[in-house]
Amino acid sequence: MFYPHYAARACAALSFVASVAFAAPVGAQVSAAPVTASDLAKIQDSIQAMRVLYEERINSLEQKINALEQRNAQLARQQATPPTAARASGTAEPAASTRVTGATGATGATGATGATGTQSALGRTPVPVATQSPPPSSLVRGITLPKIGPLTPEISVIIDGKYSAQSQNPETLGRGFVQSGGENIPRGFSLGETELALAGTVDNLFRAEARLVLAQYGQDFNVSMEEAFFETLGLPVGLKAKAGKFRSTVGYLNNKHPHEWDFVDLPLVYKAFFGGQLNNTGAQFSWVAPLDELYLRLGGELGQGMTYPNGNNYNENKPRLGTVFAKLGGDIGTESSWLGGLSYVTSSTGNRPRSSVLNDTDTFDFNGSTSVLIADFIYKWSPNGNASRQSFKLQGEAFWNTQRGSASISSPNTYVSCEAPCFGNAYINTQSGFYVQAIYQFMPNWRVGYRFDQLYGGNSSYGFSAETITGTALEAFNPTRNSFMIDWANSEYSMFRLQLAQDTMYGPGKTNNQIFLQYVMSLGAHGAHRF
Amino acid sequence: MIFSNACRVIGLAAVALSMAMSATAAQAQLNVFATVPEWGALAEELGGDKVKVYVATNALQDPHRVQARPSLLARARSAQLMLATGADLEIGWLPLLQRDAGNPNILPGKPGMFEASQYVQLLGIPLSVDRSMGDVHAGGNPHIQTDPRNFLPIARALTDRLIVLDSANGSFYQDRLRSFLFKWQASIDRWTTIAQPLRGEKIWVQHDGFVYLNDWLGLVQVGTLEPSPGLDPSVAHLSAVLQRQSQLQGRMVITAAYAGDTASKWFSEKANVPLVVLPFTVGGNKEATTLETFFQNTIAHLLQAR
Repeated sequence: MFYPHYAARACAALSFVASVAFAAPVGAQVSAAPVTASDLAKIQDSIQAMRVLYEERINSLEQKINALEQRNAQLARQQATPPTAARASGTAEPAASTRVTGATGATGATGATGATGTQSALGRTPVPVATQSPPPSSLVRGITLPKIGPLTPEISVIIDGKYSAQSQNPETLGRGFVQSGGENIPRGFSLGETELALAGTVDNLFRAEARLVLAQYGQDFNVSMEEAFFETLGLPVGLKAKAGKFRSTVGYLNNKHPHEWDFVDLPLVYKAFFGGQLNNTGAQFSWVAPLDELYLRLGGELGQGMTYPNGNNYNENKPRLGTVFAKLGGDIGTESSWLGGLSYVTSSTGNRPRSSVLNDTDTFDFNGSTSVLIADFIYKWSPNGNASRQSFKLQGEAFWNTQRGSASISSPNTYVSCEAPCFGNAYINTQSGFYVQAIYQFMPNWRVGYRFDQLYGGNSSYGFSAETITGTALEAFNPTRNSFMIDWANSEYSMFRLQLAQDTMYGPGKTNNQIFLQYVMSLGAHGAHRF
Repeated sequence: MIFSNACRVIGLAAVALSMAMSATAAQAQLNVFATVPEWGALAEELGGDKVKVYVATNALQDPHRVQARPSLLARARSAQLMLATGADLEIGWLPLLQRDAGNPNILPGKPGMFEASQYVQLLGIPLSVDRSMGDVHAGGNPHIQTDPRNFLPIARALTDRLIVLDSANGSFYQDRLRSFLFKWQASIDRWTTIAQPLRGEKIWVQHDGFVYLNDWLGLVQVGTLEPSPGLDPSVAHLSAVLQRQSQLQGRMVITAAYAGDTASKWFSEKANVPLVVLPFTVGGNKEATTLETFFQNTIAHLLQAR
């Protein structure tokens, strides 16, 4: 049940409150030829000279205004008592005009010589203390440097390239879990995803981000819309709304972009239960509690549900994906901080069954509901809270996945004890898994890390006979993976990583020994990273 | 159904809580969030018991590399005044607080957002900016707190702002400002006199964080140990710097307490010049506990090394 009238009224009130805000210009960088120190000094001098010039001009304009006001007052008096005031106004006029030209003449002189004196003068010039609220324009006073392209959004391109050697074919079907395109990294050189992002404030109330991804699919590159959303800036009392296509805030790693990951690939729980990261078209609403010591954020999302674990819910009135999440975090002394979360995802396939790969030739359709419960935590430590030399990070997430409904195999092949199309009995899938990882930065720019992944097949029954699912994606299995990495970052904008891993996702006797070399290069504006 | 109900409950709870908040805020102190210790100390000088100051970082943390950790979001949520340096110093974390804390009072351009660097003449403004130059700030060098003269216009502007936000205590803030300016000007004069022998002294710095100090005391910076701002120098680079020392004849090497002294210690030993670890801000060492003692201690260290 929705409450449109309630929402509309709330929105009107909120936008009224927020309408006082005005957007600040987005900084852009000035580019020019290389310079020497003397050039620099010259430029600084000329900027100072410009300031003096502008200040003088403002002064002269103020004087002009004063003169005009006086004249107006005199004219008003003149109208009241015409004969005597006429002479007074006649003398006032030339006096005012000489004052103005005098000020303009002084401007030239100060502009030429006054540059050196500005620094000390600025420090000591008494500024009158305001006795009442001044208008907003006087709030930002002092030096505002001219910026080129203040209306240009932040633009960034992130190149994420890899070389990999693996003992198994990464295109092999995983065992025990309903895989759904978990983005396995191909062998040899590959480019993964090259990301082009545009971000910035839309106006005083909204901020928007668009993220295009040039992804390598087999031999081809496709452009896809990874994210495109807006979010509110001006809602009061900790509220925030967001709409568009975006990575869900559930879990910890779900809304982190690949260049922020500590390993080359996602944890197995994300691959098995979300087929990557949960990313949907919809809307989000969240609230930050007014607690001083603790960070508490509650929120929920409504998504159309067009990818796994949904079916293709495109062109349906009813959105079929919902999430709620709670995050709690804080500090322990000055050296440590932590963040924990609980999230719940629910979805249903509605009238559009989800088709998943069963084996090399066949697929099966699932009709029903999926729910995922996620618990996550992260703990960070650094000496004195200064993470630039040394730091440590411990992070983990656990997923509980439940699917209920029915499934059918459509295949030209005849399955043992099941004629095509093969309808199964009740489908109950209760699987779970977790990962835990530790990252240690032992000196500036260098980090090492270890990650352990575990999935549990649980007591799942898909409604098919054991013979039917033997050797398919549904055959019960508990995979594990051990990953070790070391990375070196020359700056915030470039990073190289070596990762070694042993993955048993492909089933018994098919251990995949992996080696990855990765580079991440960030061009342009690089937005601040979340905790 | 579950969701809209949940949303409704959350919404109602939020409204109720916020009403409770604003009711108490009427009599309470002004909530000030300072990004770095120097502005926290200044806010306390000027606001006295009328303000409640939270300082997000300490003097041993690199202000460029602070994370927007959950506790900062929690504090930013209820801040009525956000005090920052600006000039891109906090660019890696402050925008996230403004975006995610759900507090429109601290958005850029709002009375609740105060950037100290807007009230002083910035130095070291680069003509061109390129990432190959390292962590260069396009707007100018943001380490304005190393020159006490900068505190005069900032104190005036900050008082203006306090009065805008808390007009009921207007005369209180004006009195505090008057006594601060009087005291501070006297201190500047005293420090400037004491530090007279430092004029023209040649110095090396590890990070280019002292341009305002140099400008004030007349120190002559012959170079930086960092190859470019924010990048740690390699031994090879330091050796090259050491070779230039024979011509440049720097008399001491200066670093900030937060930055670590590995590079400057190496240089100090090889070049046989004293190493000076300056507090850089309030809390940078045991003596520098207030704005006053921060500058006192800075000058004492420099004079001692001379």
